[in-house]
Amino acid sequence: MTLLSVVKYVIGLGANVFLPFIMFLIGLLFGLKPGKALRAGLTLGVAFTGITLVVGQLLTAQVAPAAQAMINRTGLQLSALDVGWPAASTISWAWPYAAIMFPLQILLNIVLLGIGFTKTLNVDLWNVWQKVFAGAVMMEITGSLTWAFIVAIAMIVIELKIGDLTAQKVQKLTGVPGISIPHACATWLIAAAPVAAILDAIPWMKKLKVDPERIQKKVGFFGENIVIGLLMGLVIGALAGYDFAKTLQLGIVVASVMVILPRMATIFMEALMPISEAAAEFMKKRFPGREMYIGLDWPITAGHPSTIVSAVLLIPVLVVLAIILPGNKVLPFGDLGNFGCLMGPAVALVDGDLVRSLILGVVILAVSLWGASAAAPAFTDLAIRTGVKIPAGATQITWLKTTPVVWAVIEFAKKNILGVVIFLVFLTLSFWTLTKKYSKEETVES
Amino acid sequence: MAKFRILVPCGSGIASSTICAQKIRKGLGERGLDVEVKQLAFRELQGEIGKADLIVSITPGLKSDLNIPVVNGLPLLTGVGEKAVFDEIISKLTGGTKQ
Repeated sequence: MTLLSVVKYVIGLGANVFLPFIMFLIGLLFGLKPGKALRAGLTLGVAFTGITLVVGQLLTAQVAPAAQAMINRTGLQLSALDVGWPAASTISWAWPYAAIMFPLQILLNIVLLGIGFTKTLNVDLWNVWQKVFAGAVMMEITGSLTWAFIVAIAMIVIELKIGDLTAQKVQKLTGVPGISIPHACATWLIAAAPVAAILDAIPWMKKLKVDPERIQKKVGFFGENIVIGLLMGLVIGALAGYDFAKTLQLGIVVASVMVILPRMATIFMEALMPISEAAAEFMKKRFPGREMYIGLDWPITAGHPSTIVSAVLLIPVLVVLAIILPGNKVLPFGDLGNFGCLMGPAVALVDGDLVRSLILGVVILAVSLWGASAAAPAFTDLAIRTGVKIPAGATQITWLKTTPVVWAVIEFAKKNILGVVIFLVFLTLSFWTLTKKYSKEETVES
Repeated sequence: MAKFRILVPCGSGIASSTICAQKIRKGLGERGLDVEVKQLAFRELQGEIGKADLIVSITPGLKSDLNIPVVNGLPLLTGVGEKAVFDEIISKLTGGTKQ
């Protein structure tokens, strides 16, 4: 028996068997005790089984047909159902090469920090899956493992760099010194930073002051997953032409998805926690006493009133945008109430100003819809390959928060030269504005 | 001892809040305090505040007119100064600040 045939056999057992196995090995690699590593691996397999259960039994079996009926009846061209990030991360982890992303990100980060290319040490290893997603989608399109890892490396480098450039703004917003947010969501600034600079140049823009805290209390109820789910289910059911009873049932099904899926995803997180903790320790030990930014996950900005309020107020905007945006195919669903992370870096850039945050939000959501539309065919194939059952000819699935980087690479693979040129122009513009305008240490502003 | 209810909000109530919630359960358990930890998204706070004794927020300076004590939980994410967080939680829970 060759090594290759052993690997093939293990992968052939299915993701909920090989994931525990691989994570056990990764745990050992970062110095976890065998018992702990085994427990982490097993928990991951259980979480994976739980999430695929919800995705299969509720999302693709009940919500997708309703969405399909709505599309057929209304003539809307929204043929790709957004599954939301808990499902997208699960499907990504089931990619056979996913676990390699841990050592890749860690080693690359250590090297880039060592040569002074970046000042950020990213200890948020939970979001390694974002790079897995990028690589897996790319492999699905090109069939090339090399390209998959080129994209993943590009993501890691761009994330770290934008983390560096936005560190001052993030520290100002949160009041925490020495941190940055090298999160995939910061890559939307490629589109949003130039727009933010234009908004800053408009004199009357800064006079529009809205107090986000007052609004926060009023929108509280509509920010709850269970309420968002119920409303979405009722609307989709009504538009699909379901009768009263079936519409009510769909309302409860969608509310269930919105409540159960996050609960399942916390099991996933519990499984990854010991591994990401051990890996973070491993990294920190390499650079004792050195001055650098500790790269954290985005939610340290999530509690800011402007982040909360814009994430809720933009929910109806996203729905309207999905309908009127030319070229969009995405039906926002899983992440409809869950795009706060996209707002975090933008809110930091405008120092928490709600009006400008909302304007940037519209730009960011438009880019998301286009990116997710482009990723839909590849992501659907990936999901089918990992064992999610999607009926032939039915709605495709995708993920709303497909990053602009992944979108650009998909266009590159399609040989859409104009698209790639536009991306490169925005990339240059955004890095230039971030460097010139937003990365400076802030003195007292007039 | 009475069971206290602690809310741990993060972006979606899934990732960062799991790290904090696990550490709080373990840290307070070791100190003999019986607590129930509920994870949620920041946008869901409004509906849960009435049923809780304390909030541990990873966003520093969580604003809003919350009438229950708020403890800064960021050290639980960075791993620096975790002990002080547990001490503060305990003193705020048992020090008569309970509403």
